[in-house]
Amino acid sequence: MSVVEIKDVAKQFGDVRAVDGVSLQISTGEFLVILGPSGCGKTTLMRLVAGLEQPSHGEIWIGDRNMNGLPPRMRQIAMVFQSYALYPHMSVYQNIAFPLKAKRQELSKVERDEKVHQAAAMVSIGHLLSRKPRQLSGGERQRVAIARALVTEPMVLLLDEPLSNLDAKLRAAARDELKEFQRRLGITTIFVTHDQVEAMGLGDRIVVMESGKVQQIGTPQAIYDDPDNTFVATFLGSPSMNLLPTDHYELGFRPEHFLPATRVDGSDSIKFTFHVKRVEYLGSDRLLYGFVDGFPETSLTLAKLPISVDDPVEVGSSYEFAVRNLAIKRFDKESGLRWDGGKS
Amino acid sequence: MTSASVPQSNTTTRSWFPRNLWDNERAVGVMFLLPAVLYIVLLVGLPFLIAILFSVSDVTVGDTSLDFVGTENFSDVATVDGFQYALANSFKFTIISQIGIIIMANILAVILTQQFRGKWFVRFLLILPWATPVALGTIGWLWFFDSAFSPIDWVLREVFGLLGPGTLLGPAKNIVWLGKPELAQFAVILVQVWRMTPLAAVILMAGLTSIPQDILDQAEVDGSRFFRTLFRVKLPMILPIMIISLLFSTIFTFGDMTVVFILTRGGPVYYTQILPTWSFFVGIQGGDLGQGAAIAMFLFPLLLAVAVVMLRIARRTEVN
Repeated sequence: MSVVEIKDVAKQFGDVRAVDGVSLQISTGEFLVILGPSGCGKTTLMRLVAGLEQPSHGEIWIGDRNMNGLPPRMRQIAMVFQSYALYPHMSVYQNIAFPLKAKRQELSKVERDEKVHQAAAMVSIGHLLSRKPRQLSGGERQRVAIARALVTEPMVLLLDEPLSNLDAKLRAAARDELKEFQRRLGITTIFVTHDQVEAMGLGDRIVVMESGKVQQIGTPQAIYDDPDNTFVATFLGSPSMNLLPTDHYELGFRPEHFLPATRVDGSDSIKFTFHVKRVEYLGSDRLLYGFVDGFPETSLTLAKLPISVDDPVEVGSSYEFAVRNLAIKRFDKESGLRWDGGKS
Repeated sequence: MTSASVPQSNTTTRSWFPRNLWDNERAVGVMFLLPAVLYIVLLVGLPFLIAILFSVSDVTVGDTSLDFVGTENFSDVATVDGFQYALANSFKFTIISQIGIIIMANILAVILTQQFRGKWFVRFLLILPWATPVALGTIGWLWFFDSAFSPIDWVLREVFGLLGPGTLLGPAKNIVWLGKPELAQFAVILVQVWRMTPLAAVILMAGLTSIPQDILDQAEVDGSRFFRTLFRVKLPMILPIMIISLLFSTIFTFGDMTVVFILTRGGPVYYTQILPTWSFFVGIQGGDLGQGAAIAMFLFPLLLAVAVVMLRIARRTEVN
C-alpha cells in the first residue's frame, strides 16, 4: 500500500520549473532515496511533500488524503534539515518537546515527558537532555534532530541531506545507524541526497532526478546495472560509465567490466584494442586511462582492474581488452535513452 | 660627493618618512586609532573631567575661580524640589518610553519583515522620525499639542464630536496637552517613543532577517503557528539584539534634553522636569556652574549601571 503518492507534480518559480511532472508512489515502510546533482529539484520535491511549498500543478497524497493546500502541521510528516535546524536557545529536551506542544496534542505533562524520553532513548541521547545545541557535536545534533522528528510519530519521515554536515568517518557510521534504525521502526522515509554512495547504501529504491524530472526509479542494483539513459549511466558509478559514440548509438560499459580479453569468456564478448595512456594505482584497484581503436582519441576510456587481475600493464602499450555482451548498453545518440530498450 | 647625488640612493633623501611604515602593523594600528582616541579624549574625556572638577567647586558664571567645596553642591541640589521631580521623572519617562518603544518596534519589525506591496515606502516612512533632527521633529509635535490650534483637538472636536460643550471630553474646546501635569508627561513620553522606535525597529528587523530560514521552516513543520513561532522561536533568538537596542534607546532617552526643553521647559511647574533640563536651567541659565555640573553628575552612575547590566545580559543570552 502506498503511503505517499505524488501525481504529476510540477513547481514553477518564476521562469524556472524546479519540479517538472513528477509522479511517484512510496509504500509503507519503504526507504526511498531521491538522488540528483544540486539544482535538480530534489529538495523542492521534498519541500512539496512537507507542505513548505505548494505545487503549481498536480496532487500530493499522504495516507488517503489529498494534501494540496494543507500546511505542514496537518500532514503527519516530520522533517530533518541539512543544518538540523535545532532551536539554539532551547535545551535538547525543549527542542524535542517543541513539536508536541506546537501540534497541540492533547497530552498531560507526564505523557509528554514520557514521549520525549522515549524519543531520546531511541537515538541514545538520554544523557544530553539538559544541554544546549551549541554544546553538542555534529553527530549528537543530528540525533537530536531525529528524536525531535520522531517524537510526534509521523507517517512519513523526510530527511534532507542529513549526513552531509558530518565528517567522513562519522558519516559512514551514521549511515549505518540510520538504516538499521529505519528498518527497526519501519517508518516510511524519504531521503534526499546528492551522494550516490549514500543513495546506493541506504535506499530500498532510488529516484534519480535531473532538471526537475525523474530520470529513473528502481532498486540500487537496477539503477546501476540497467540505467535508462546516459544521465543515469554517468551519474552513478565512480569512475563513471564509458560511452563510445558509433554511427547509430552510444556504446556504454562500466570500467570494471572492461578487462583483458584473456579474463573474459570469449564466446559472448566484444573485443577492443586498448591503448593505455596512464595508470593510477589505487591500492585495491588499478585505473587505466586510454582510448580504443576505431573511436576518436578524445573519447577517453577507462578500465578498472581489481587487484586479482594482475596482468602487467605498461603505459604507451596496447592490449587486447574485452567486454561481455551482457554488460554493454546501447543509448540513442540524440535522446540519450536506452536504444536496446533497457532491461537487458 | 654626497649620497644624495648618487642616483641609486634616491630613497635616502625621503628617509624622514620610512618607506615600509605601512608594513609595520603596530604603527599602522596606532595611526588608525589615533583620531578616535583624540576624539574621545578631547570631546568626551576632557569635558567629563571638567564637569567633575566643577561639581566639587563653587564656580559660577560670574566668578570663574575654582574653590574646592567638597560635596556641598551635591547636598545643596538634592534638597531642592525641582531636582527631586527631575530625578523621579527621568526614571519614569525612560522606563515607560522604553516599554512603549520595545513593543512598537517589535510590531513594526515583524510587519516589515513580511512580504507585501509598497514595503520600501513604509520602510522609508518608518525611518523618517529617526532621520529628522530631534529639534525639528519636536517642534512639529509642539504644534500638534498647541493649546489653541492643536490638530489633535480639532479632529476630536470636529470629526468625532468628543470635545466641546456637552461632549464626552468636557465643555472645554481644547485639551491643553502641555498645560496639565499628566498630559504633559504623556506628551513627552509619546514623543520619545515616536523618535526612538525607528532605530529599535531597524535593529530588530536586522535581527529577524538573520534567523536562518531552516529554523523557521522547521518550526512550521513542527506545527508551530504565527504567535508560537514569534514568541517561542523568533523573539528568544533575537533577545541579545533586542537588549542592545534597548541599551541604545535607554541611553538616548535618559540623556536627552531636547524634547522636554522644546515641548514644556519642564513645566507645568516641575512636572516634566528631568535631570538634563534641570542641570541646564540651574547651571547655564541660573549661572551656577558648580551645581549644574553636580546635577549632571547624577546621570553618570545611572547610565554606567544601565550599560554594564545590559552588556552583561547580552553576553549571557548570546546564542550561537
